[in-house]
Amino acid sequence: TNHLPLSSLLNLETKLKSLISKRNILSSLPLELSQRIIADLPIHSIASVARVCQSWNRIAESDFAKAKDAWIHWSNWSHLKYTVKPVRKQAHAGRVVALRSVREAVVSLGQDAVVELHNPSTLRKLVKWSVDVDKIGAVSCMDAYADGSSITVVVGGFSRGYQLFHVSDDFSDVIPYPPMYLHMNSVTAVSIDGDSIVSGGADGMLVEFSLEKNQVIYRSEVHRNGSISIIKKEGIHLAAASTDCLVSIWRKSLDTLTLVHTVTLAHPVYSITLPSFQQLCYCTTIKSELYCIPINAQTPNLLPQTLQYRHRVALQGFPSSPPNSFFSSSFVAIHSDGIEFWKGDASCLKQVSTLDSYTTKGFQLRVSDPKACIVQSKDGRRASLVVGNGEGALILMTF
Amino acid sequence: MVKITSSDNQEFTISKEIANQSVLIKNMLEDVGESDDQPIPLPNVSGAILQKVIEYATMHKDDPPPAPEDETKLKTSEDIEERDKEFMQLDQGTMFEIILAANYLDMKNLLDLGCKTVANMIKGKSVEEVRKLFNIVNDFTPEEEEQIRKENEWCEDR
Repeated sequence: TNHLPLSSLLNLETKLKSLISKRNILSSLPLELSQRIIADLPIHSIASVARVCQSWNRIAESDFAKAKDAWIHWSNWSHLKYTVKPVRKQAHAGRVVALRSVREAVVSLGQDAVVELHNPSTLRKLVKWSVDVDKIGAVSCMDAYADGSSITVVVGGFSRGYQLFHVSDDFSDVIPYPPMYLHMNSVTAVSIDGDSIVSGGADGMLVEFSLEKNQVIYRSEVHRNGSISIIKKEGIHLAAASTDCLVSIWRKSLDTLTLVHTVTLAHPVYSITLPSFQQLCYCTTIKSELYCIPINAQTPNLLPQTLQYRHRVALQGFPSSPPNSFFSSSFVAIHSDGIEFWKGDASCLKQVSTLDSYTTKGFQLRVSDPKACIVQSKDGRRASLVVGNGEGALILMTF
Repeated sequence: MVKITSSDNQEFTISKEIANQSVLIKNMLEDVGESDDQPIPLPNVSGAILQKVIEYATMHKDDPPPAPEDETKLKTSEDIEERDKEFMQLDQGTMFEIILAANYLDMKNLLDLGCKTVANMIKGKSVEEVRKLFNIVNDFTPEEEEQIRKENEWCEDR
């Protein structure tokens, strides 16, 4: 300092004072106070705090562990309103016809006959292709299945046929298979797994095609008085619904489908969800009624939430949720006024949180015909909801 | 009137309504009785900080009592009054001492204000900006930092 001019010394003093006045405030405070500060932050800021330094990481993790739980715990899902920033992507021209979630991809089919696979974390395009509508007609339905090395997508059309597409593991190749014509007229619902494809038609026929035997192995006329509108499969169970208000519950084995029972509801079914690990089938109808049908009993239970809705409700259960996990017995209800989160059992679903605020923030969830799928992490602790709307946009919300 | 003394033996005379904003002082007053003229010692708060705390309490002496904790209400750090924002325009050292004093004196509103102010300083900043703001040295190895980033990637603001 003997060799420094006075101005430099004064400058140095100012800098030192500035440095001294700054302090590692979180590390200096008692843990409970540091955690109190952290608790006031949105979750992505807590994630940043965890990366500042070792001591902040310990503070953040001590609260972040709780925050992570709170984040996905139903009783605290109101936090979603201000901490999640949805991702929106315009994927299709025209409405989204179907959405499915498979291993490492969200598959969407648009009214524009385009199938697109998206990264489930970012909605970034992985691969897309067009379906030849001259072969199967305008697209009507879609399902997808992932095995160890690839993804198979089946797309149904209004000209009797459906077509399979095989997507390679690195998403670089899409191999179309020859279309199959197994119905008298439109294919209106499809479901695929590693063994077979179950399709439903406007002719009311339910047809099972074995992928191994390469032939039809089962046909059912149970729905002959209506047009099959939905087929949903989860684990060993499959449910189908037709426009004549009939719901059929099936057990699927390696050999073929076995009818468990049928139930007739008051109105045609709008959505079906089969929560895994539960012997229950939930259905919403076009009149916004909500039913719960026990898999092994023919008595549908009209749930009391029915009267709340002015609009059709697409209900999604969380797939692969083992009992006691955060997502077991949990449902997302999507309707034209927004999104709600429910939890409950066969007698009552209790609403635990809403995301209706997004409808006023330009995310265009005001849709007459929402499609949705849930992407769940392998450990079952994290989940994202992807909603497709009537304008061809996809909206990703991560919980 | 109530007399209080700081850790550096500065004595302050304040009204009872100001004193009662501290649950600690309120309880002590109830314990020692109204007639006792002895100053209440506050050995954990310096005179300079106590002066600031009294300033805050005076500013809020006409406020209604704080509502009980409402767990269902969303926690936001944006609902700070303008006068409180001005009050908290302090250097980090003083801010830190005020948070500690509010905790010791059991003044919920002042403690909330301190915590929300620090939270607001952190909110919206990148990791590097937070380090710079609080003069913190990154003591992670690149591998540790990358691992933490990956672990928490799912909740990052995209």
